[in-house]
Amino acid sequence: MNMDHEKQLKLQAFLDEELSEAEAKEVASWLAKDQEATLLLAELRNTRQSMARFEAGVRLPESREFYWSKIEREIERLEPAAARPEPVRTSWLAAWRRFLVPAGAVAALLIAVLVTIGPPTPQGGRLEAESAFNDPGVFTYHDYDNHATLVWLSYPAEKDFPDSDQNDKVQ
Amino acid sequence: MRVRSFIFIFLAAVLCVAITSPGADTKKKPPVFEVQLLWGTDLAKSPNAEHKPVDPDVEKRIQSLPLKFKHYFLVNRNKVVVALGTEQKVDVSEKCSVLVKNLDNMKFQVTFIGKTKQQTQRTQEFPLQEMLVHGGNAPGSNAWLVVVKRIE
Repeated sequence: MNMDHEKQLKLQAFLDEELSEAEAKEVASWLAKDQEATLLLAELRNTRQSMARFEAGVRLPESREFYWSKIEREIERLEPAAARPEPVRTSWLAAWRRFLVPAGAVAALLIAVLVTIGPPTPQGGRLEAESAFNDPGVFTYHDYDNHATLVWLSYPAEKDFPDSDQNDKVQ
Repeated sequence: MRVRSFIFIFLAAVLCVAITSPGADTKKKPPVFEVQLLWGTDLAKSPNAEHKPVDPDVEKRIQSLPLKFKHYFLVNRNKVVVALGTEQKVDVSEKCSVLVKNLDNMKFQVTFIGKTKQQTQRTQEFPLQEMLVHGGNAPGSNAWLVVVKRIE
């Protein structure tokens, strides 16, 4: 066949009635003069008719959805196993490690802070309870910086302490 | 391997904290207190030859208290070991004494007795070197002070 591809397509379009009226007249006059083109058109027509008959004879034994789902399953079955990602298996040790590493880091940080600033120490001489039984004039003073607490009593010493006398002299 | 080395570091750190903790040593030995009777006066030199200078640490801390006296002298001192749950009595003078009760190795109850009567009772935490001072006026322009200090 010496006909070029463009002309073949033109004949196919003519057969499918896709050409404009002017183009169709032009192709018709061309077919009247060219026997080769006429033969090709006849062949194309026969082919179309054959295919149309063939398609009309095919009937699916099941519904369209079920038919496609079978195809889909078959494709999945035939997929190479290597192409699928292997499910990650984690042992109990790996799971524990996932927990232990951050927990241990937090614990280490706390220990570092404790070692740096020292464990919490009670404020020096923190009072829990105080009671004066026979001295209503008692007062208390706390010197937290020096870790000292003074309890001053109005309790008269007199001769309780054998180191004093009335004249500021120490015996 | 990484977990094992981390556990080792963690245990070592815990051990270090336990050893260096101030409470670690105090748990081994029973607490020891020193009870000192001091004499406060404005005199530069005590007329009593038996009086001794006050420990520098005690004097420094006494001077930081709101007391008007210029000088302090040591009349006597006593050490007492107060085991957990026990109470010890220290006689400071003929009519004055101090009772120290160990409640939990950190908390102590101190009872001051004067004229053979209980004058005050105080419960407080007593870390090392903590000092509790009872004081009052003495005849003249003097003062008596009873210092209770934890030394161990």
